[in-house]
Amino acid sequence: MRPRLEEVLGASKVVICVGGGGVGKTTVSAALALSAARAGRHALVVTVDPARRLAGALGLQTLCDEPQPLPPEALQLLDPLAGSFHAMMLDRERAWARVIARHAPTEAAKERILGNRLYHELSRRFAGTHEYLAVEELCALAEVGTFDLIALDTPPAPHAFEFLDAPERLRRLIDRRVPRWILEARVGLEESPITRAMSSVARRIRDELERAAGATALAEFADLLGGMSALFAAFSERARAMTALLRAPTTALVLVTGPDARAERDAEECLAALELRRLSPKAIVANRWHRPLAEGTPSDALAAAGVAPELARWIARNHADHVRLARGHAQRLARLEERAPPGAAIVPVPNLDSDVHDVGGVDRIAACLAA
Amino acid sequence: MPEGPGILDRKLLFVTGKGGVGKSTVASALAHAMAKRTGRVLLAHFAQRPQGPAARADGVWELDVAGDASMDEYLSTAIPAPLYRRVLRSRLYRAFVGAAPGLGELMALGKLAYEIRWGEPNAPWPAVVVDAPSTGHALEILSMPGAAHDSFGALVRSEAARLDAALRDPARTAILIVTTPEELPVQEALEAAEALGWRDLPLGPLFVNAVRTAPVAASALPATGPSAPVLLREALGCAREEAGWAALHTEHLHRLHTATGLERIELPFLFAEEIGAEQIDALATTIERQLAQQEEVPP
Repeated sequence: MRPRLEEVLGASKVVICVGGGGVGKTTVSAALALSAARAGRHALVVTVDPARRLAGALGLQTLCDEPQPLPPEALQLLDPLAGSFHAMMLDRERAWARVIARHAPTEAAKERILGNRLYHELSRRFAGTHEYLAVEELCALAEVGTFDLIALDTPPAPHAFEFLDAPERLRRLIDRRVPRWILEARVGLEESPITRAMSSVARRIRDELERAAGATALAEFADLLGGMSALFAAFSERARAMTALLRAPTTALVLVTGPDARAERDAEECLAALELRRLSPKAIVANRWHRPLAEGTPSDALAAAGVAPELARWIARNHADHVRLARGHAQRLARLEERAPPGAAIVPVPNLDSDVHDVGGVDRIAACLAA
Repeated sequence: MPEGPGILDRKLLFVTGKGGVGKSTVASALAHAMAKRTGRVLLAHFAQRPQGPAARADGVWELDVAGDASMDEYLSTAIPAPLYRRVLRSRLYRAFVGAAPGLGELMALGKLAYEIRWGEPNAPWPAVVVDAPSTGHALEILSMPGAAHDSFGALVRSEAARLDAALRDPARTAILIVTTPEELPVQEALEAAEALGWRDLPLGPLFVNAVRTAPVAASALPATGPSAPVLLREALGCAREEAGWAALHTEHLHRLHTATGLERIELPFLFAEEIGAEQIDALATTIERQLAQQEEVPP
């Protein structure tokens, strides 16, 4: 017997929505937080890159990355909430600066990192840092404890494990004390006891990398690693805390998937990635399902109802297309039921007949989730 | 139409868009259309592990490229062989690549540009279609050559500068944004078009995928009471739903048009369960027809 989503949500303090791109993770995350707020809890949805209209509807017009209450005009559209609903959007550069400030042991250590040019490139331009930040912020928010339910909308990572592995990857990256001396030798330039002590192989490796990437980049990288190493103790503790949070009994991973073939493949990949890490989703939200349709052709009924022949032909053809689509969706849902871990709630959400980009739409999805 | 040769006659097509809009399908159809002209085309997907190229029956060769592996491959050509393995195994190198994951993707793009010899004649591949990651990530990759130029030196820098020049050249490259006519994807497409404009990258027509159409408005369909037969009720319900989507799609197509003034290629919503060779061929024909119409129009 599968649990109901309500039970999963009720037993969780943190809900993490994972899944492929374009399946509706952001709206489902917001709807989960809204459901919790309906149940009397103080809920927060944390999103990374929401659509502008949804962001606007949730009171996130400005780039302020602090929890924001729902604006009054949005609240007006809803039945009164027993709890509260806040939303927050992560800004990558500010979030990084916060992380550094949070963990730097001294002001000087902080300044060294924030002043590094490569740091700015990494925090702003280079891909792949969102994943770490999302978990880090989640951890910090969970510790503060202002909210009793936090729903995290994970970044559109091409693959789920980038997000799951973020803490461990960062910890490994900073644990690089050996290469650091190779590099620091270079920053000081010329011969030093350290460069003399380097093996000829290490020296050649360094020289070749320098030829490929440039001396400045390597020196900046060395400086950044040097600066980050001051944070190593804090980061490694944080990485452990983050890993623990991902695995806590009060944390629920929610897999969001769609009805098409691509979403099915993405969901399968995601489930496999979770299993590999001995993690299991506590709920699967199957978004945008076509409602089931009776099989058969409506041609005679259309003629009897006096619909003009040309229009009737289009209606019949369109109906046949929809029946085929609904049949495909039903088969996919059945496969998902079989494939999904037995302890996971499965929640189909029907395809709403319009785009969801306002609070009313989020509320309709929340109603489907509660049904 | 923007300057430069027709889209299907360029050397590198970079296809991006919001997740779930059908980027891979459109990239596949574009590669199919190009292969009809040039005999063979490379279709590259950004993936976790490198794989291929594997030939399809239509002259399209599919290749999976991965960032880390491309960086390794690049170093194998840049670094003397005996040292190469040691470099790859060194913790320093792994840390460096790990710190800047974008560096690997830059190299993957560089590798693809190299496969077509930056668009020179007699290259091993006449053209490559890149099925790129979704918009945000893709914009990062496209700005990487510039970023790498500022951040790195030496070989990476000269490689990046060459790649940057090739990407900006409308004679060789087109950046194609795929969207569906819906709120979120359209917004992301508009933002991407704006960002690409800033960076002076050669943006081609917008590809609007999965467009739904209906011959009449929902209000023009007969009403049904609860006593009507199930099939009639459901058939009219589906027709109303389709007409509703069609109206919404028209609205978003209009929004795209007024916001960008860009040409559009419109592809129909497919009810097919899986997109196979037959659907790709049909989509390619639709694309060819619409491109020919747009490219014929005198300025």
